[in-house]
Amino acid sequence: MGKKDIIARQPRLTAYFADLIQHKKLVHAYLLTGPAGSGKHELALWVAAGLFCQHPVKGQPCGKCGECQRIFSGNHPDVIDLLPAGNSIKVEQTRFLKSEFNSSGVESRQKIIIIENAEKMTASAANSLLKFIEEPSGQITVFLLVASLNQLLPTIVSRCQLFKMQLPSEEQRIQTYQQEGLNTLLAGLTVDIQTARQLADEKTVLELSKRLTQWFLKILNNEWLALVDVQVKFMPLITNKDEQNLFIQLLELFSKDLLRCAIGTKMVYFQDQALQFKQRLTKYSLTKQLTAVELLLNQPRLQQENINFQNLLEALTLQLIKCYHG
Amino acid sequence: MKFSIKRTAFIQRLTNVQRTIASKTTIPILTGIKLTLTNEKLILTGSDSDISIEAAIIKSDDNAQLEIEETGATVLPARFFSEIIKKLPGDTFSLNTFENQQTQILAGKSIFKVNGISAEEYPHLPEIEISQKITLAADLLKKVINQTVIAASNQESRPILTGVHLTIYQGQLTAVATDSHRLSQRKIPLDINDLNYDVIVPSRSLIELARMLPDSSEKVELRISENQMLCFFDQTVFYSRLLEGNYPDTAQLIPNNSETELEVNANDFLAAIDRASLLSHEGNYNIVKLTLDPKQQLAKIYGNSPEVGTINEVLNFESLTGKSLEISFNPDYMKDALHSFGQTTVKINFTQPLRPFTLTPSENQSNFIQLITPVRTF
Amino acid sequence: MTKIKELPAILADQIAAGEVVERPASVVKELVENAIDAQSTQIDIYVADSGLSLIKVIDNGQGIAADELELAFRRHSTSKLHDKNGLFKIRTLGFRGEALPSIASVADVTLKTAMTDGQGMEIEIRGGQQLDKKIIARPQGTEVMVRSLFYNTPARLKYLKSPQTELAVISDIVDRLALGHPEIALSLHNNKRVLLQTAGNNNLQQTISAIYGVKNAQQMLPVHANDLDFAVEGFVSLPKLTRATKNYITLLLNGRYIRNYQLTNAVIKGYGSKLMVGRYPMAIIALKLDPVLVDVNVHPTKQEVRISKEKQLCELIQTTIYQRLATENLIPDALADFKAGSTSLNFADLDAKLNETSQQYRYQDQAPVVTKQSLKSQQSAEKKAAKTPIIATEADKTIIIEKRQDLTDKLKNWDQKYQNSQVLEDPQATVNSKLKTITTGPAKKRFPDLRYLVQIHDTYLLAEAEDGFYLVDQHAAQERCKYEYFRVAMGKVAKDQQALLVPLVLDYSTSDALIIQKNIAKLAEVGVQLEEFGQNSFIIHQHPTWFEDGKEETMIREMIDCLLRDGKISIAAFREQTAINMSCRLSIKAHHHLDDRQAQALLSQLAECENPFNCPHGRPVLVHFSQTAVEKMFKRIQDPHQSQRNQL
Repeated sequence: MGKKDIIARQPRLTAYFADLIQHKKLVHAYLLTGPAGSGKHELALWVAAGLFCQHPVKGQPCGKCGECQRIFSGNHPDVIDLLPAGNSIKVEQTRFLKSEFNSSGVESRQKIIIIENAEKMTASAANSLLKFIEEPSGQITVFLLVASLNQLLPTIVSRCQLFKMQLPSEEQRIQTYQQEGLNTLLAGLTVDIQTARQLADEKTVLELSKRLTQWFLKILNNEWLALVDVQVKFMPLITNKDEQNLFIQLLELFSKDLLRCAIGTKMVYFQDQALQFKQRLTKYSLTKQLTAVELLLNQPRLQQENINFQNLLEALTLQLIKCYHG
Repeated sequence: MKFSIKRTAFIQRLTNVQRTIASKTTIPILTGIKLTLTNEKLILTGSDSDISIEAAIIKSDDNAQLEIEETGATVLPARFFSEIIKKLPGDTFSLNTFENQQTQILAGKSIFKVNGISAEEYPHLPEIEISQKITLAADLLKKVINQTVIAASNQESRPILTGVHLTIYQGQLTAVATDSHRLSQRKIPLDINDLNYDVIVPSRSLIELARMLPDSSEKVELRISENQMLCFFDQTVFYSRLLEGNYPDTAQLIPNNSETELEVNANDFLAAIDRASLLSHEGNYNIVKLTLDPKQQLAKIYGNSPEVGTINEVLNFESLTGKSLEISFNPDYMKDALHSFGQTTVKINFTQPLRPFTLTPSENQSNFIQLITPVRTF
Repeated sequence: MTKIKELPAILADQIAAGEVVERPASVVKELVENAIDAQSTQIDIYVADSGLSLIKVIDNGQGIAADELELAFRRHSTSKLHDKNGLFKIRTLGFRGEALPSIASVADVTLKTAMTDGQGMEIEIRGGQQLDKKIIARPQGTEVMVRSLFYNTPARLKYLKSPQTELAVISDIVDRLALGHPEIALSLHNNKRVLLQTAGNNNLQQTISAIYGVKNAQQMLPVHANDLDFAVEGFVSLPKLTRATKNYITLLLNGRYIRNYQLTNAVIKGYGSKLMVGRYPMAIIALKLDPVLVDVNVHPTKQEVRISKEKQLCELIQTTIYQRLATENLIPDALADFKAGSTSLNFADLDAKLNETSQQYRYQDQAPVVTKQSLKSQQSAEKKAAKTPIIATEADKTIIIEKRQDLTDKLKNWDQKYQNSQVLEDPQATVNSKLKTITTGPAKKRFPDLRYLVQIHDTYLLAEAEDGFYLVDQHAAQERCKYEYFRVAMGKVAKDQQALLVPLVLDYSTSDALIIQKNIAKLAEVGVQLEEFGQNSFIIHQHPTWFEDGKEETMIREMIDCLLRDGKISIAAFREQTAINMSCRLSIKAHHHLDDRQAQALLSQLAECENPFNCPHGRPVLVHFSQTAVEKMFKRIQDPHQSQRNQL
């Protein structure tokens, strides 16, 4: 299982928690922060396993006993894993969460509740969480997993113990990925090598990035047909919110590379077409290049505001053409 | 695991257990039903995390004709499995599990192969030593449950009040439930002296339990662990998760003095309140007023609903002593309370018009108390 | 050395022009008002290029005497005020004596006039300088032609909006002038195209239909009311005819178009909760009052006025509209709306529409003959659609009296029915309070008898009635029932409190707790009695009895949230808002299955409501499919003569 991986990826945290478990010093609420793929969920499960394991070694789970197996396969009745679907936690899930805060475990009083994407909790769910943290009952421990702290209510953050996932630096990641033969682009998308491999297999990402570079080259060539690319090349691959988010991420990475170009360093993520871009981009003034980057960086906010995605990209195309060619 | 059994007996047990199996649950294995075969019996287990039921069929049961060939256990998808069993031909069927968790079901000329999950994945229900048991009569337990759960709250906002508070202390079991408007307390003596428990059981679980308990006075056993309450009866074990938290101290809420006492026949009084509540329900103003005048030995009930009408009724009673009093309350609470007494005389004790009043059976006053808070009218 | 000099006339004029002549539309307004003051019965307005190249106003009024022509173009010279008291008794539209000179200072003005048919004068002035003056032949009346507007103030020229916008503003002004004077035949032409033509036969409804279209005019109800100081006349749209802005509410005071925030709001308030959120009615309200009560000399454009006894006037308007709407059958005819399509006059779209030859709301080549026809069709349509237009107008006059009688009769029956004088402790008080709040009788009469059939899509209830059938929105219906329940419950002083055995402790953040502390008294008035209980916590030992069982804590929290969200609001608004919120939240939603009994119960509850036609947010509760409309849909009615024969 990924058990071994997590120890390697988060040596500090696993050691810390193992120590807590051994000395039975777990508190009631933990907050784990880190980008997608940094191992928050694995860590939470690992700690849960450590608590329930029948043959723990210095607070670390063995991974083989019935408890560990059930926890890792999602079948332990006292390790509750809550993943809000969509944009916010549903009413059903909120009710479920509330009742879980108030009842004992099935097999013992010990219970672990893991709330993924905790920033999606509704006000009422957050309230019952607060109530619980202030007056915890029994031996229930909650793990809140978020991508970034500022998405959570400060009242909750102040009441939890905060842990940041350790992240390998970007250079390290890029190196590791390159060693594996993975496209460096993936290093910008996820910190987890497993996910990177998956994305490489799926091919959507790479295809999209290729089309993105082609589209941008057309813009640099003042070809208005770039506008048509949005509908013909992009939209067929972008059919749902997740894919939109992915594309936005690609735009962000691309803007980073443009900045690199602007200051004269090498492009990192889109290395394949780096040369072509370099040649073309140097023709333009720094101001223009920066304006283009700003335009690209504006897109995530617009997407969050639920603007029609195709419109968004088409508008972007026109704005970029105007920016470069006046 | 290998056995054969008579279908009807199996289905009977199966139905009992299936009630607790939810079709949607966060833990996938709970959509399955666990079959465990020992040398003496076949146990079916179903659970929804809150309530778990183990129903057994023993070898010596002639109705079942259970033939045990090989012990073992597995978990099968509950809905699918039960449909299969119900539709099998013939009177008996046999079941056989293989190494890869595949289970074969044979009946007549049909052969089913169902993919199962290892029973190891199924939640482990607590086992409590026999020395820790509490015995009482089934019908008594049923009564206690029914008399208390009516007062439990069903609001999620205060989850603790959705449970019944059970305390066992010095040979006595006390069950209390309240929704903040009325309270019900029941005490029964037990035949053990040295066990102490203080737990809160969800009222939903108790209602299910009461439904399953037999009506006779046969003995059932209660066992309580740190996180579950178990009830043993009739080859079945009923498990319920407990609620975490501190139940408010209700003992101090029950007044121990009284200024006015009214003794009535429960059924007659109930009928009068019922009539009065006709009006209060009509007008969305659910209050009735009781006027007691011991000097004139007069007891009246008054209900009023603006634009609809009024009701005035002079009440029959057995006795009325103490100070004069006018008090208003929600008639539905009164009705629930009176229902729970059955056919008997009831003593209603009041202190002041704004303080809660109690209802107790005329005999055995301390064993059963219903408490209702009045309404303050302006 | 003198640094302060008197301004040369031309400069003074131009400064004045800055206040009065902002854009071509202001020129049109000033000229048309002059024409009106001259007792014209016909005024024709021609503009070209949205007024920048040409504005021509031709009237058949009194004309100007030949020797007074130059004087007319001097500042502060006017024929309309005779003495110092005249300022306070303004009966004419213009009086400041500024229009003509102001306009002439920024344009090329040619004025032709005659006081009798035959001999007239022509004078031409540009930039304040007289260029030409001669005798001409002309019928009685005046023609003012303004060319090259703003030729000498390029900044103002550049400041103008697009030609379409300017034209739209001109159009708007002319519309309002037309509404203020239905007795004058007004026409507006732009580049040879007719934009407006009114009949001038003193029929306000016809004028309305010329401006807004026949369909819209048909959906407007006449209103009138009088009290000692004011006379109110006009038309208001049915609640289903709304617009997204307040622009379609025209206020006319003694024939002058004015803007007044309070009065406009009074009109809107007259609709109460019948309007959907964010939507405003169309209305033309003509007020007549003694000029002494009005000070028009507030703003140079004379659109802002100060009115004495404004509050009284507002109340009069509000009550009049309210009562008028209450007597109407407000169930929208489903199929009329269905077929009508969009008849909206969207001012923002006007630009686009004006670019095409859109005839949606204008008649072309308007001759009085045409309007007479439309009048006929209007009348017959009115008869078909609103079933009781005639009765309604009668009811207008006797509205108050009728209702009082109605209620006391009902109350008498009540008493007899229950033979209990204690039922209503104070019948008179109840009657009074009822009158103060809402009408009952007429509304109940007009709610149709419904026989429940079936639930559709778990969202709508289908019910049969004498004429056709109705579709009821179950959520809106229950919202209305609950809303009325809560309104009454909160309005009543039913302060009965149910005690709690286990008190409720509520925690809030520091800022919220402070707000709550400040408003503890207000909350107590609605029955929520909080006590401070430590830092940022409050404890509550009891709650009002009318809270729904099982939802007490939720309701208390909601009421407090209401307070926190809206800050300081009055008790009445607080109750109203809480009633609306709670009714919405606690009602069954769409896709909630009801069995037969529940559906019946909901329909009978609805029939008991005081205003069963709208949910508290203004949306309709039920739509009507009349028998004839349905038959038409199935093309059962083909030959009108045939069907009439069958009916006999």
